[in-house]
Amino acid sequence: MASRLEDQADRVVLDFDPAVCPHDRWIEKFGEAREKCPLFFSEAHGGYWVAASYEHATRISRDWVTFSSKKTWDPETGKLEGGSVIPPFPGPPFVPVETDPPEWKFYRHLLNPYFGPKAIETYRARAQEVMRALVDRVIESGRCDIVNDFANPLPALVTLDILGIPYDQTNWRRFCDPFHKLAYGRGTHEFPQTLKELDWIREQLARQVELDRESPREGLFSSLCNGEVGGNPFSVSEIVGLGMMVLVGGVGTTNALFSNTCHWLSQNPDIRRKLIDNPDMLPIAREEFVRFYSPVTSAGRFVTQAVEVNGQMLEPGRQLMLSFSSANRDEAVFENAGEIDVERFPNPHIGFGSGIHRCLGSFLARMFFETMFNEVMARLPDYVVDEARATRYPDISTKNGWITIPASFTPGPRIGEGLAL
Amino acid sequence: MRVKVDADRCQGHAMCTLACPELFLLNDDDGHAYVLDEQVPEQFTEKVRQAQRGCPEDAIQLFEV
Repeated sequence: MASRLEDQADRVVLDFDPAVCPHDRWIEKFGEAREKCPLFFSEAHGGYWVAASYEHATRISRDWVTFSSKKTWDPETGKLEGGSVIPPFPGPPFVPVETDPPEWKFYRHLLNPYFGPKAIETYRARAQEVMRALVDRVIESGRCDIVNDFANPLPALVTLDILGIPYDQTNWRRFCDPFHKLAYGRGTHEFPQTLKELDWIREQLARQVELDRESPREGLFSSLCNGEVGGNPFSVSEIVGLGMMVLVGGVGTTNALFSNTCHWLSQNPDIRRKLIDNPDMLPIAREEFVRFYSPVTSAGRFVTQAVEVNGQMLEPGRQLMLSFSSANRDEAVFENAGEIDVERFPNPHIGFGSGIHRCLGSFLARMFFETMFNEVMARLPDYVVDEARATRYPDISTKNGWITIPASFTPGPRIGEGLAL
Repeated sequence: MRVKVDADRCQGHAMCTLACPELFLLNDDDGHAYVLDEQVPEQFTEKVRQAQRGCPEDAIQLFEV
């Protein structure tokens, strides 16, 4: 049996499995990796490579031929390889994230107009209305959970609005909570229940497909329902899959960004006040929060052909982890990378990824962040986080977020009109 | 100074438009950047340099002539 390419060369192995990464270790372990060997091998999960530096993460992201995003899953043969997650889990690929050109191009171009800067502005008013209603729910009590009252529901509900999936006062929670639990629950005993709740959401989407085929209307979901791929209509499961991709892609992520930001601002009230008083500062500050927190901490790639990187041979068939969070703390690019500087500029972070798979929802995420920030700072600017009860995700291998952030504040009035939740 | 956005490299991070909204415009649909005129007016030179340094895809090329 021929020896593996990697065994013939000096492969740097680190005793670190960032695919299972406790929150309290990642900064130290990735810092070590960037110093010792920014492209290293981890022996966990059958063995995979990790790109921990900005230079490697960006260069690898640009070569989608050698470093493929495509997930292959064939339930009949049992073939399972590639995709965004390490190790891969059984199930169809997330589209377009887990595809390569030319398939990538078809789906990405189909979705782009609904997430481009022009479209985003048409959703802003609705986002403000939903956020106002979410704050109304808690404003008189003087208590809230930043995560479950704001950061998770806002992106979930407005994304459903964008898709055109109806919800109401009785069921909106059922649409929001599973996406949050999905981000941190893999491996916990509650996870099977979360998967069932996601199935319920899929059923609602499938029901909407029927309605949209009967009576087409404006918007992304309806155009999928009445659109075609390769001369054939999209299947119901494809449409549901695309809808779920959009929700999964945008909810836990934006949640994590806003949750982390609110937590930090509670600890830094002087900076919070400065941002409130100087709204022009917000866009640059926002990008710094994306860099520092990197809510999507990593993405997987699949090596398709033998390649030498950093003096090491990578064999086809291996998975490789791009660590956005490590790249975004690379001192070679970001001075004092371990500190938040709300005025940091230029800030070439890759918190929204790098290369062709740059986050489709980045413009939407930014608008959501601004909307949530403005409403919270206008109506409960003195909120104080209960640090003893605030709880992070235990594992940040894919998402860097919080399970709950209880906070208290000076109560205020409901604004009242319009949407009620 | 002249500036070009390399359309093959640009992926729509939109950091350039944050640096210099006067010169870097974004495509409505995919958010990719472009400039209407490669010639950079004097008063925007520094902002354009910041845009170049802020691009994660190295998609902005500057020509000093």
